[in-house]
Amino acid sequence: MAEQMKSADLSDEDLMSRFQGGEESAFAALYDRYQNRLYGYCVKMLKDRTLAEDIFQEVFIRVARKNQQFTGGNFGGWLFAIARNQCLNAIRDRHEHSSLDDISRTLVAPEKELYNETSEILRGAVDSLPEEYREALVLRVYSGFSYKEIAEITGLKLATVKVRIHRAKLKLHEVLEPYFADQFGGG
Amino acid sequence: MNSKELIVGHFEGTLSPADQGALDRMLDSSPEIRAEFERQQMIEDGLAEDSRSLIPPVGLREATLAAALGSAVSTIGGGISAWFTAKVAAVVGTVAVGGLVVGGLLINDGEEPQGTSENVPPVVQVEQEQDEPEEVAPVVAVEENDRTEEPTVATRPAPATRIEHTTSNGGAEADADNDGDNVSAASKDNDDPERVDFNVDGIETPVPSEPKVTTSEE
Repeated sequence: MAEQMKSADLSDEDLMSRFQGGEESAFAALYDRYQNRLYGYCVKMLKDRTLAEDIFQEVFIRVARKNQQFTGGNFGGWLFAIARNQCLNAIRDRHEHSSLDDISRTLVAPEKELYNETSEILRGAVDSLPEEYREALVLRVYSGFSYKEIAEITGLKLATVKVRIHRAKLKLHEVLEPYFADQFGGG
Repeated sequence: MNSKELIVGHFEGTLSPADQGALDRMLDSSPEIRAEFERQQMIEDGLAEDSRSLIPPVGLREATLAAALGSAVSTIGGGISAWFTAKVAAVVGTVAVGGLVVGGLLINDGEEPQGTSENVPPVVQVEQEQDEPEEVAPVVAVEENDRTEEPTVATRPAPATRIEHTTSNGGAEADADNDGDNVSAASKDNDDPERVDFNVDGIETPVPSEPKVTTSEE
């Protein structure tokens, strides 16, 4: 208990340094700190829970195995950069490509009845976003990173990150508008 | 900026005071824009709710930590732990065997120390067998069959097998196994994360040295 309280006071980088020194509980503390954010990222990026769990696990295994390669800086950024590459590789392996057309294909008429709750509709809409928009949105909303941190993780310019997040939200709004109109009679 | 952009900007917290003022005036004067605003609020709430609902399944923590920490054993502490373990084992073995020898001498005190000279060599032998750190931790060879990993060559230093990865627009570089471990924000300007191409031109192919043939001259 005392050890848990102690690790809660430490920064990510301090925990990583302790882990590099052989303190396994420091790694567990880092895991606990990032598990939800990383899991959310993997699930939303891969759109497949089983695959997401595999990648999620693989990321932590790599972090542990290559701990000596972390030489400082932002641990969260480093962790998610590893996760990002793993996810992109998995997506490429799956030959999955989203496009703007996919959004309408997914959400228009035939499937409409399947989405009987707003949250389900919203999930479908997020999943259908083009990958570059989805990633920026997921890192922002599901993983809680700032624009600057997202730029660091993705290697994009700060302005590009802002634009992608804005466009993702505008796209969600646009895609969901007919459903809101049906449900609330507005629009 | 149109009303939708202003609304999204409001929820992102990126509006300037002037733009926020403009949005406030629109909301006051237009029921339609207020409805749009409320829809965006629902989207924001839905995203937050969905985010909170994504929790790793029970059991994944233990499995992941076990797998991760198991894989890290040979690398924690600068890769010396396996060597250190072997060294400790050798010392413990030496002390144990030595203790047996001394104990035997004490028990047989006054008697002719039979077999004492035979007990010594195995002590040396135990230490020699275990004190070989070079063969204990071929860390590089542990890599799995990741196609983006560097080629597994246990005896070569890592820099010699480095693979350079470049994205399609040539802006980003990742490290040899595409982990992003060495990601540098300054070196990345990749505007297209969807496509990642890997340039393996950077692999240094080891050139086998010609065997030296020495002939004795008469």
